[in-house]
Amino acid sequence: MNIKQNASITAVGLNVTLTVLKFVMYFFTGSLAILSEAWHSLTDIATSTLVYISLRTQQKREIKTPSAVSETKGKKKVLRDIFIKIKDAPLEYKVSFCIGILLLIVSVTLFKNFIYYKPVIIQYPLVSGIIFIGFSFGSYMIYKFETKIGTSEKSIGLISDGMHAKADMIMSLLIGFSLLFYKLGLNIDRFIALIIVLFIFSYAVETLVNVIISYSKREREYIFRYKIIDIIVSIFDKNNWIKAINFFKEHFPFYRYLKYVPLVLLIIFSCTYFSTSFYIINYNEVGVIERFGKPLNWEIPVLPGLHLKFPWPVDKVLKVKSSVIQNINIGNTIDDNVFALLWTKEHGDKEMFLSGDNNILLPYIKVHYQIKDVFKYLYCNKEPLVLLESISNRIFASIFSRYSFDDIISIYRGRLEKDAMNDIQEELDKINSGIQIISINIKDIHPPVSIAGSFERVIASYQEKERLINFAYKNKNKTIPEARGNAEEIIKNAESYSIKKVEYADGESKRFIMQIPSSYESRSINKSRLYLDKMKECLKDKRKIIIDPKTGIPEIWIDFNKILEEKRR
Amino acid sequence: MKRNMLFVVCSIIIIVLISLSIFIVDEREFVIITQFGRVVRIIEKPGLYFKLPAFLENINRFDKRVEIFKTQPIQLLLRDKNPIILTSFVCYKISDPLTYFQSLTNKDVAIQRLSDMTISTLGSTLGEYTIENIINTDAVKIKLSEIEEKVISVCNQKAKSKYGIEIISFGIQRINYPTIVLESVYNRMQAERDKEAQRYRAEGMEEFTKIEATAAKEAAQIEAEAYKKAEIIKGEGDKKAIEIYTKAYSKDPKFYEFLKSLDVYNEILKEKTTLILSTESDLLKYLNYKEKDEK
Repeated sequence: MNIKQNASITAVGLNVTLTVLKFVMYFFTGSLAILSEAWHSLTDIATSTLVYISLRTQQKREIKTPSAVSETKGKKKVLRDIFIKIKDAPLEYKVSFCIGILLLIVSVTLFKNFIYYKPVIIQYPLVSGIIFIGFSFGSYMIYKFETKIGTSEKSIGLISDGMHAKADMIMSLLIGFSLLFYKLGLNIDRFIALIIVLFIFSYAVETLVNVIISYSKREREYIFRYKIIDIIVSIFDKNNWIKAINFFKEHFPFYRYLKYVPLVLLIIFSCTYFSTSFYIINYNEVGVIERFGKPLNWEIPVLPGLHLKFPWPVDKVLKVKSSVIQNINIGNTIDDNVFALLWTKEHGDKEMFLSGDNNILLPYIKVHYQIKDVFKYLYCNKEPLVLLESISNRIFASIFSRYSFDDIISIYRGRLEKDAMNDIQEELDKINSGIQIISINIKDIHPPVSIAGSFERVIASYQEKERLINFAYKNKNKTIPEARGNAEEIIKNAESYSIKKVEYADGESKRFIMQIPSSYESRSINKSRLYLDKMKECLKDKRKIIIDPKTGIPEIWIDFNKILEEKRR
Repeated sequence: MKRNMLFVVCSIIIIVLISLSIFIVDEREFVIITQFGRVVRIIEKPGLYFKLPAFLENINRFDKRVEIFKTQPIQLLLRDKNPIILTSFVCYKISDPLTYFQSLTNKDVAIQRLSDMTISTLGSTLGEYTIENIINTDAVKIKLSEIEEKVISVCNQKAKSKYGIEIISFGIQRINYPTIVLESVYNRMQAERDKEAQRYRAEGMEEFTKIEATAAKEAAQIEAEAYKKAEIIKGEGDKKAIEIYTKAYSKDPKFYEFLKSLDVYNEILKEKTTLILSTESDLLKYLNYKEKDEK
């Protein structure tokens, strides 16, 4: 192992470290420029590796002369030759060819990223910017080291790899500063990424061209003999073109048909051009034709179907989806991932409106609309949808500010949709928007989430109130019928008393009347009979003291005390 | 061959020149043609037009349609010192392309100037109104559209003559309170709700008691009425009975008295009664019976 190989292996080691660090930093920052730079460093590893391999193989063996090319012409033969050449090529050529292809793919992918660039917020721009400036010092060290060894040992590979490291240093510096600029508020991330992508691309082309040319010229240390600038210049060199044409003439017999190519191209071009004079209006669209900017069919749009027009610069067709009902959100947008629309759960963003009684409410409104007048839609307003949104917002703000919160969420809600629709339509017509509101749907209106609980408590206590009232009615439903029953009982009792009284009286009096004796004789007899009967009944079993007044004062004293005592007992 | 080449080159140059001097004016735009900064023509109608090629005459295109932009939310003070955050939108269109071009040059500048103008006008107009005029359940007191119209008319005076712009519409699209005020609004809303909840609960008790009392009263009434009715019925019965008795007994009052007395004796002379009877009484007169008495 000589000093050149040592130098190149050191360069490989340093580049590997740098590359890994750069990928790690992309993971943390998310900057496109850093990603591109990381890939670029990966190519550096490849380069350094190639230099190392070429230095080793140079020691070991001379490049084999390819097997003799057969003199017979023909397409198949040519392809076979190429195949044999590729098969016999030394390892480093194959490796570097593969690397060239890989780099081409990487550059194209990164370029796609550049085109569909989504602005990202770069994390830690200050720290990573400083680190990248540090990297540039690393690259500078590699550059110095490799050039020094290269010049002393006269190795073209090492020198050119050193130059490459110098370019790396510039890249790292660029990124470092772009990150610092980002910190200051200037975002040139995308631009820097583009520069690096172009750099990778040029390197890929360079590698591929160098591999092919140096192999065909059978050179040993081939890398970076031809710079990208040389390649670009050679494209414009007339001699090269003539050479290429001659090569084609020799190897490809169908060259003579080449003169028809312009004609075919012309036919294809004119076909494409005139095909623009056909246009299709879809089932849900209408069209407007403009001839030199002036609409042709005022008032009546072009209906669905296949139509003809003058080709491109003369006529232009504008298609509007007029029969599709579209919608916009006013206020908050409902987060579709939310399981249920509950007041106490966050389910959208926080656009607030004020109600007339100074309360805050968060509405979720969807406005459905259609394009009623295509011409007004196209020619009267630049941004009819922004207009629709602003006007809807204004109408809702003013409607909400007129009604109390309770009204808005309950009784007025249905009427609100109708009122808002009329008002918005009126404003839209006033400003010639050509938009027709189909319906306004208030999906939800709720108070701020933090106080939604107390709103629900109000409803709960309302329910409690209803419960109490119902309970009272329940009691009432018991007491009143009971009272009625009692009343009925009292009355019935009275009636029965009365009936009894009257009937008794009737009976008794009838009996009495029947008892009255009809004549004087019977009267006295009956009286005596009745008297005696009664007396018998009365005095039977009773204690009696019978005194004969003629016998004088009775001999016995009536002991009343004894009698009363007896009675008491 | 050389002649051919010349022909091709010449025709290419001519085509390029023509393509550089033809332009289309859209239905949606005004075009102002300037020649080294000097305004040469103003085109307001759509169609195909010609001009001197390339940099000799420049095309400046302006949108004819109504443009809309939103102002940023801005905190303003009302007459009653209430702070309020308003977001508004402005619809305008170019009424005088030349003035617009000279004074504002392009859309961005126009929007900036208009936004300055409308916000300051809105601020000074709001100074004359109170919060009552913006947020109120009494719709008559709300003066939002009046404020908007004032802003339009004030701004249009300047905008039309100085800027070549006509403001079509100005609307307040969002009314809000500053964060600190919001906090107290939250608290107030909560207190209000608590009050409401308490009221419902109290009302519930009130209704409950009312209903209970009414029910009790009704029950009492029903029973009392029934009692009254019962008494009347009884009285009637009594009365009828008395009448019947009177009618019957008056036929022979003596006999009634006799019968009744007998009944009464029977009633009052209970078991333990001790009677002292004289043999001279009518009942016992036959105890000392002698024939002579039979006369």
